[in-house]
Amino acid sequence: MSANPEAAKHAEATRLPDWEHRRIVSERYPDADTGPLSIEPYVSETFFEREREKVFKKTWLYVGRAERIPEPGDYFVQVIEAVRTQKDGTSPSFIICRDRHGGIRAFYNTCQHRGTTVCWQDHETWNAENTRYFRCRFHGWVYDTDGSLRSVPDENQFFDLNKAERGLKPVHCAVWKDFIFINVDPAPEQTLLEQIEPHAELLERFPFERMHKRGIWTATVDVNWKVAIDAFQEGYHVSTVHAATLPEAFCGPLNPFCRPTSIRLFPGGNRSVTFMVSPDFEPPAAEQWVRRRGSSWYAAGGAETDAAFPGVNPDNDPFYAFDCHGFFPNMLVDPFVGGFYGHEFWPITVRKTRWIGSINFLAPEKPSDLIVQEHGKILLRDAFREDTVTLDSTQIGLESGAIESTMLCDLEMAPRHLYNAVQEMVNR
Amino acid sequence: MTGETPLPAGFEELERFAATWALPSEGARNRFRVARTMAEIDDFCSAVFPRLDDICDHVDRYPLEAMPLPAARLLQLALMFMEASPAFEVYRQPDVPNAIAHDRLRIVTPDDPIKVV
Repeated sequence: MSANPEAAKHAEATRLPDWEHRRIVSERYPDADTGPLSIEPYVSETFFEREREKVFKKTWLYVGRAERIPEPGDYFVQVIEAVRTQKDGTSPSFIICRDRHGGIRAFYNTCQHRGTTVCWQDHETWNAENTRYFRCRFHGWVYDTDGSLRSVPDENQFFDLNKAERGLKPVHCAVWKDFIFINVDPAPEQTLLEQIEPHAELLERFPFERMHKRGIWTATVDVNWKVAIDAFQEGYHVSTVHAATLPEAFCGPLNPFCRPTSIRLFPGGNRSVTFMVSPDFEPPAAEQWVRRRGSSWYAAGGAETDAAFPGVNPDNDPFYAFDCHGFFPNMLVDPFVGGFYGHEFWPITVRKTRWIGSINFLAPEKPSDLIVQEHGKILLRDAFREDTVTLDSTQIGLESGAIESTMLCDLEMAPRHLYNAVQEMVNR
Repeated sequence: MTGETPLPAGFEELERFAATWALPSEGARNRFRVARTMAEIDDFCSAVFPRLDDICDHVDRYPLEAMPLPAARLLQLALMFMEASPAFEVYRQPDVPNAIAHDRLRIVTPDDPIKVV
């Protein structure tokens, strides 16, 4: 830090974009479109069906952290409505497990005897269970944690049963930095790493593996999944929606509209947005106490990017707060100095989405670390209560017949980029 | 946990909160917070805040994997302070204003990673 904080602040402020006279994102990406966007992808059942077929059944989908299943035999169940086989059909369930050799695998949660669900578990929790074998509760067929069929009660009554051909049906599964993804496409077009470039490269050294989950929250919202994502990938809403939780942190005199300091767009729909904290923000007393001892959920107090968290603040922007990395199609990962938070958006119907938000900090080394981490976690959770309040009403408006297109500004280019990437995929 | 085990010596003035405010999970603490009055939150937070450094010093004598019950309850009181602190010093009301209905956001955070011995 400079010996003169005011001089340092002034020097940093001169590096901020000249938003009064420039539109920095469309200057950086002159080929990006800027016109109004048809609301069809938010309200059309037909479009939603194409999204399910061409996006969700064709891409790697994040299903959970390896931290959730640390030991051989640990497993959890994930239901993914968007990959159902029929338009109004039932939703397939998957088992994500660590096999007896420590490898992470994924299977359809479907008994190969008569189709019954093998593992029954509330998938809307962070729970995991441990087992030596998966045993179907209908007739007791038993599968190994590698999916192979181990035993069949009264086996000699079957005709030509070849157990080697009746294992649980596997699903492509890949792990990056402890993020577990599955892909239901029998022959995925891309590898996971191809799909998540350049985030994978940028965040290769970010200490994800040393993080532990400190908060996880979920809500089913009556809104299209893309509308839900967009509520979390721009800053334009912050001065209004977060008037209660974050009245000053992101909306100070230098940047009253919480403009991102940089927005980066990548092929395939991935994008990154970096936010700044107001240098004029004086945290209230408890938050100051927290910041003397550790991290809140965003950096505050300068442009420093701790070397312990490589990959944050990719453009070396002044007054760094946090980054929001959009992983196509349905995940956001938001690293900050001290941890990361994130979102999953699971489409259920064209107008219903399961949202999951969570926050992760470095694993606590001592009990007081939990106390410090709790503050940022609670403030973030309460802010998510504000973010989610706009969602249902937006869908009502979009379906009302009163609006044909949306208007997005230069600093809402991340929502536009997602919109365009989805369009491109469904129109192939 | 019951209120029968006292807090560690030196924290007697917080004892009146321990039986009801020391709760083992984020979900339990949040439900408790939003059901309080602002006067109750002010009373609790005003009592705990000046002792946060002392609480950290005390709980850090033990590993999270092996905490005596009095220290664990003290730690839970500090976590409860953090649950209530945005209401106390920012919103000035027990729950977030202009937010999605409280029961629509499900808190599925696991219990605190504290093992009591």
